[in-house]
Amino acid sequence: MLFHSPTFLIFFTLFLTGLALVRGSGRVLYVTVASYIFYAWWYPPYVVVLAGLTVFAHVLAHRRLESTPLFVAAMLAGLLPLAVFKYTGFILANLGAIGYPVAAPPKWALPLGISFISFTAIAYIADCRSGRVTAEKGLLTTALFFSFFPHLIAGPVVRAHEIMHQMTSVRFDRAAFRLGLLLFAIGAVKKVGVADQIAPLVESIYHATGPITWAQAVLAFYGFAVQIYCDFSGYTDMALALAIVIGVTLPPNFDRPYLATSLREFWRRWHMTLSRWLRDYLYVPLGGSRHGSTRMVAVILITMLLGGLWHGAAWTFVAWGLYHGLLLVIEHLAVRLAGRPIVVPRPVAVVLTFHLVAVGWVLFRAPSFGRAMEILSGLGAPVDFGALSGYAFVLTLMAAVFGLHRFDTIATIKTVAERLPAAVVVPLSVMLALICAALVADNPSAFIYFDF
Amino acid sequence: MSLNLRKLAATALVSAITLAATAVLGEVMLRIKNSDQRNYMIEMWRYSNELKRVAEDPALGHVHVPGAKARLQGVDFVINDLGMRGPPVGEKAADETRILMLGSSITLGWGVPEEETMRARVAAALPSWTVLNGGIGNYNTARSVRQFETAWRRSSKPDMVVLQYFLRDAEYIPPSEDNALMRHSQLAVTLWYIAARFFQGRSDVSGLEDHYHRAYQPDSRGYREMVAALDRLNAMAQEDGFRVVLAMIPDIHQLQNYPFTFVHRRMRDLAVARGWDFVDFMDVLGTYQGPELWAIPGDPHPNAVAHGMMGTLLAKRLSGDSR
Repeated sequence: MLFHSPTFLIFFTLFLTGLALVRGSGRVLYVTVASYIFYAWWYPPYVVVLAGLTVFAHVLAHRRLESTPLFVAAMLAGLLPLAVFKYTGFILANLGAIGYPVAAPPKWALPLGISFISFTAIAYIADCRSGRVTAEKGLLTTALFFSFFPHLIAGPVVRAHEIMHQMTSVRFDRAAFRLGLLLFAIGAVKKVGVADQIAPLVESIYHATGPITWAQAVLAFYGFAVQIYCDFSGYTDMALALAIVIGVTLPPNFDRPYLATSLREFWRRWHMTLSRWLRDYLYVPLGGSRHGSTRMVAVILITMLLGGLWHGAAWTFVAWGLYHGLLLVIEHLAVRLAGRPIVVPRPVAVVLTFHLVAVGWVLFRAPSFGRAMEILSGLGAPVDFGALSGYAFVLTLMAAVFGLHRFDTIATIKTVAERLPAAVVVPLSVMLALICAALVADNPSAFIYFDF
Repeated sequence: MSLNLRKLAATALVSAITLAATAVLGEVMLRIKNSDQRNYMIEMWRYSNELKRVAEDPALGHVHVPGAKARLQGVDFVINDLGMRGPPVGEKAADETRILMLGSSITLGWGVPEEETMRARVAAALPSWTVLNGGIGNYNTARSVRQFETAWRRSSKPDMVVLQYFLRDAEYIPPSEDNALMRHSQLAVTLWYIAARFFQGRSDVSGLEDHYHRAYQPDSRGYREMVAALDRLNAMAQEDGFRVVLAMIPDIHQLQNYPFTFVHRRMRDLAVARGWDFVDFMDVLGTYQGPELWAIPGDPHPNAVAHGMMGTLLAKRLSGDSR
């Protein structure tokens, strides 16, 4: 069930109706059951993975694991389902490629949200061990913390100190409905009205073979930068909106990342909850910047490499992570060598940072290094603005996203929702949802006629 | 007016203005998006707006506008003085032999350039004959025969009528209602269509099968009107002395394990009973899967390849008839 599918809208309407009727502590059980139904909708057997990781984290959080080897073993065990489901095929394919006789890669599907669930489990166990949070006594509350359906599939990566205490007060928050509705509609516009509209063109260019024109390279380069932002941040907006209506405030995941003036700032604005996770549970434990420049360089590279691999089991993701790691290292070293912050005019820094990030997106999106190089070299092909004339819709969407980017924050949307009357917010949100439906209406495969 | 009533009116006004303003934004976005002419539904909507007008005869619904031109789904359409797609047609010469093809949007050549339509293929194969395209979108057999009866019978004076029959031609077409919003707004027509599809239910091949079984019940209104139209065409043929050929066009959703052969058999029987020749295009299209012959993905009208094969078969059969 995707948040913008008709099935989910029916599910959520029924869910909210039920939530309004349930009283007291029964709400925790009700939302947990609904979350498990949501998760099981796609493939029921994988509910075992979600339940297993929940019980695993709940038990180990109470044990507090004083011994470091035991704690490391527990961390590795927590990552085992992710490793097995996500990386077995990748490892076997690479072993096969270098001549080892291995079995054919398994064809199992990746359990939904396994990357997010695993990271949540590890963070919870580690936070309980360090004393940052107290282990939740009730298994039911822990189960809701892990399975809470707004964050279950695509994050944000939640941490116990942020939302565990909110799990016991889930309710139908009527006062937050206006904000939730507007935020959900804006998220749907970003996901369905922008990202899904650009995706087919980007896909066709990245997966084509042969030489590439300047116009195609430009559309692929900027198009994917817009697509991935609107796809991910739009889905996150919808998740936050759903949670708000259930009385839960999830942590924000994006803060206008394409306005960043440096790579370090970009990672403080992009997928913020993952960045914090990598910082707190990988970068800092590995030594961070506490042991000199050489160690710091190594730690940054390892952190970003593993961060890249977390996004997908392919060498292009590893290269993307390393690329960002190298850029971060260069930034750190440049500041250290200069002995003071390097001052660059803000517009120049924003444009430069965006383009460095967009180069990384080519590695992230390309099916092979060869195609990535073709697209990047296509940017240097003879300029032909006329060839862009057939892409008015996609270019309009891209221009709108860049033009409105500085306003794209939860705080701004909250202010708008608070200041505008319901007579504006409700019809605006409903109409935006209808426009999204109209934009994604596909060709019907049936004979249709109109007579006026 | 009480305070509460005034407040309610203000709320309603603000809501209406918000809805209207957002709808305008949506309309603009859709128009930009659909400017690439790849949205089959919107292209059909434009066809209706740009090439058709309400007919004086309510039984026809709509007719082509003579002299109208449009580029639809990437293909140029020109309507001649007779209200048919294709080159201009003058007065019939004494030694001229004319073939008139009657039918729907498939006969019209929806999605197919003029020079690649079935009409053009037959004309190229039979250069001594004048071939006219009497296909009009959203016409069934009853409408095609009615249009022939009231207009083209006298204006085109055919020596042969090829009634191109598609499975939907036995469906009753209710009179359409003019709706200004639907006529002028792509957003309105798209949302209407989404809602219609949502409530319509199954649209797969098995859904079509059920649909056609119902449509070909002898007591269904569309079927009765179709048979009556065949009888009228037959009477006109005997009166004017022209030949009639019934050319059966298959539904190209699924050509392998084709589920609609019962319709083909029924139509062959109806044609033979009236002494007409019967051509079944399944003979040349039946080796395909189906979707590879579609005009564009999502639009199940036969493409230029299918028109080529159908035109070649038809020309062969017609030239055989002429001998």
